[in-house]
Parts: sequence; structure tokens; C-alpha cells
Amino acid sequence: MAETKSVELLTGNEAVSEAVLRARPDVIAVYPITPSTHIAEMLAQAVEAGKIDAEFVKVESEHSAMATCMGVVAAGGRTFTATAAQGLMYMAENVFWAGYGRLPMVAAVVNRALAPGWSIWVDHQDTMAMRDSGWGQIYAKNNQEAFDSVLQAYKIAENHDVYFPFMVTLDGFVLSHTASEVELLTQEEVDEFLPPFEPMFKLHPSNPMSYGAISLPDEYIALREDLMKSMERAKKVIQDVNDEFAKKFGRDWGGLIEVTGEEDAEVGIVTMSTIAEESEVAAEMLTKEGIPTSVTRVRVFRPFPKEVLVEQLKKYDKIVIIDRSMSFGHAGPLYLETSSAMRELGAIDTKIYPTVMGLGGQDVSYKDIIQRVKSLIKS
Amino acid sequence: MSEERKVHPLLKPVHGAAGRTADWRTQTPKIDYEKCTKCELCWLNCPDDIFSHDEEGYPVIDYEYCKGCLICVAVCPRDAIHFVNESEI
Repeated sequence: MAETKSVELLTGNEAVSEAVLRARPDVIAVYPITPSTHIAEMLAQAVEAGKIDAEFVKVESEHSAMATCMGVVAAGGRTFTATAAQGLMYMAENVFWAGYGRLPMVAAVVNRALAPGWSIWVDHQDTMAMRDSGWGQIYAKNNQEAFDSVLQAYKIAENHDVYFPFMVTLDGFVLSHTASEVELLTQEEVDEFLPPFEPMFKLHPSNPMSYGAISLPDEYIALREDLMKSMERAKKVIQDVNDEFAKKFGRDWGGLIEVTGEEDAEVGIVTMSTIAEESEVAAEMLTKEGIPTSVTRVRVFRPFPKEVLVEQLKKYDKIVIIDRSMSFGHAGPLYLETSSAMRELGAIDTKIYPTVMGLGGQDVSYKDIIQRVKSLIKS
Repeated sequence: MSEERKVHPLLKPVHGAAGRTADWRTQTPKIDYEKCTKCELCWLNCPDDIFSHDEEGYPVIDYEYCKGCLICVAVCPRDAIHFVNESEI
């Protein structure tokens, strides 16, 4: 394990793996799938080489990977898995089980489009399909944020006011296979930031319990009400953990949302992940061209940060919401949720322009964003 | 930490198949001890083991746990067990 703080050239998958190694998991269970495969390889190698004191379970499917992780957390351990697209779909039954079962863990999902047509490239359809699974969702915009968010996600998920699992997502290939500078934290720094997991309850032969047994309607509603309350409480915990991290290590990802550029710009671009980072360049150029623009990045999609988001968005005259996924038969989920939050919280004067970009790995450059914003706000 | 009561999907082992299951019951078996011959078929067939015996060996129903499946009514060779609707009790 690295003893000194260092800056290394890492792909997103490597950055995630380096974070997981420092989080001291007890058990790792991953089934490899493009573009997340390298995470499985790196972690298996680290366990084999004795770099961390963990067990790597070579599962036969993603469904089994999540089943393994659920068992680990139910027994009071810290665990990790990674997947993408079809793998997440195959894992889906247990993704919901872990979320509704209140089993705090962290999974990295390397965003990839769903088949068919067969695609290995990025869009957000896979994780958006899991938005109601009772998991928190943090969308990283670069490799450094992927590293930092994995560590933050453990701390948030294991908080007793939260206590549900989190997925940290990174865009396939754009981040997962592209190397950029990542400042690593030392093991000592991580240990100080992320204490050992303290389970609220765990399965043990001396204290027999049943997990997720039959619930009559009244009990079922109580469970879901608790999940909803926990999601609400998580908003503060996410912000607090982000702020603590920023204070300790000097990197601030905004917590729930991140605003880049002039706050009182005329046009606000609302988007997520790497399109948000690309939008920062687009906004700068649009501002120079006389269209004052700034970017509001939704970093956390679950819980949906409607209060802080609407507070920011009502400062704009016009907002352009760029989705990288689609709810077919309706519209992009980021647009749907943002516009309903604005209506709910009374921000009804802002003109909203929804758009969908970058499905199936279509490259979205700052030029594309500039062109799209201009054509939308003219209409 | 929040003081709110937290609800998680955990169950501790309890007496009975799923705790006190009496409130699942819509129909309630009643034993006619004039007809009962203490053959114990009701005791043998009850899926929830809610029959015990009194001092004379007659079957006694534990109404805290009886779900009202009425298997006992069906198997009694002397028609010594009949049922009444919960709504009529």
C-alpha cells in the first residue's frame, strides 16, 4: 500500500480500484464485464499478491456477485463489487434486494449503454434503470472524483442515519479507460477519514435473525417509509462528508450539486458526469460569445437533491437540461425530475429546454454542447 | 445521529409460524366435545401445531396462533369440528 501521497496517471477503473484497496474491504465479489473488467482484475491481483487482507470471491455471475456482497454486509463486513450495463441488469434482482434490505455497501458501475443494438460505450441507461432500487447514486465527472467518491460513499452508506448502499458511477471508456492525473491518499489518511464499518445489526449464530422475511402490508409500508426518511437524511450526510473531505484533502465536489461559472448567468446547463465537465468549457465559450452561461452538475441523483438544485436553477432565465439516457415514451429522467422539482418548489418562471445527448457512446464535445444550447434557446 | 425510530427488515425467531397469526383468520374452528372421540386426527393434521390436550385428552385450540385454515374441520371423521365466520363472532 502506498505510504506517501502521490499523483499518478490512472484510468478511471484504476482510480476506483486504488480507492477500494484503501477502504479495507473484507470481501470483494466481482464478475468481469466491459468496461468495468479492469477493476475486477486489479482487485483480484491485489488480493492474490497479499496487498490487502481481503477475500476475492470468484462468482459465476453478477447476480451471485451481489448475493455474495449482501451476505457479507448482513454478517457485518465491508464489501465491494463493480459492474456495467448488461451485468447490472443481470444483477438487478439483488440490487433491489440490497437496497430495500438496507445493506450498506459500495458498487462501482461503469456506465454503458444497454443492448440491443449491442454497445459497449457510455450512456446512463443502466444506472437510471436502477434509480428506484433504494441505492444512492453518485455520478463522477472525472477519475479523481471517482477515487474520492468511492471513499466518501462508504462513509455515507455506513452512517446509521443513512444505512443503504451506494453506487458510484463513471462514464465507460471516457473515464474507465482514459488515464488522467489522480492524487492518491495514503492509507493513513484514508484510515483517519473512513473508520471501520460499525454494523447496526449483523447475522450471527449466537443471535439468530431472519433478513427480509415476509412483511404484511403495514410492516412493508413502515419499511419503505423508513427508506424514504433515510434518503432525506442522507442529503445532509452526503454534504457533510463532502465538506469534511474537502477540508481534509482540499478537493470539493460540491456535495449534492456542483455549480461552475458565474452564478447569475442567463443560461444554466444542467447535466451529469463527463458531459458536465465538457459543459464547463462550453459555458466559458458561450459566455465569451455574449451568452452568459454556467453549469449546474447533478452529482448525486439519489437521493435527488431537489432543494439545493431548485434554489440554484431559479437564478437562471433559461436552463438547458442534457440527459444521457431516455425514458422511452416520455423524456429524459434528469429533465423529468428537475422539472417536477421546480414545479413542486414554485420555481415556475424559468424556461426549461430539455435535450438528450450522447446515447450509445456518441461523443459529446464542448462544440456539440455549444451548438445544442444555441439552437435550443433560439427556438 | 437522528433520534427517529429506524425500521429495518429483520425478524427475530418467535413462537408460531410468523408470530401471533390469529389476525390472519377469517373463519374460526370450534370443537363440539359431545362428538369428539379423542382420535387426534386434528392434532396430527394441523400445519401450525396449535392443538394441545386437556387433562382428559380432549383437543384444545390455541386461538392466538390458529390461522383458520380449517384442515381440522375437513379431517374430523365425526364432524366434531365446525367453523364460524370471524365477522359473526
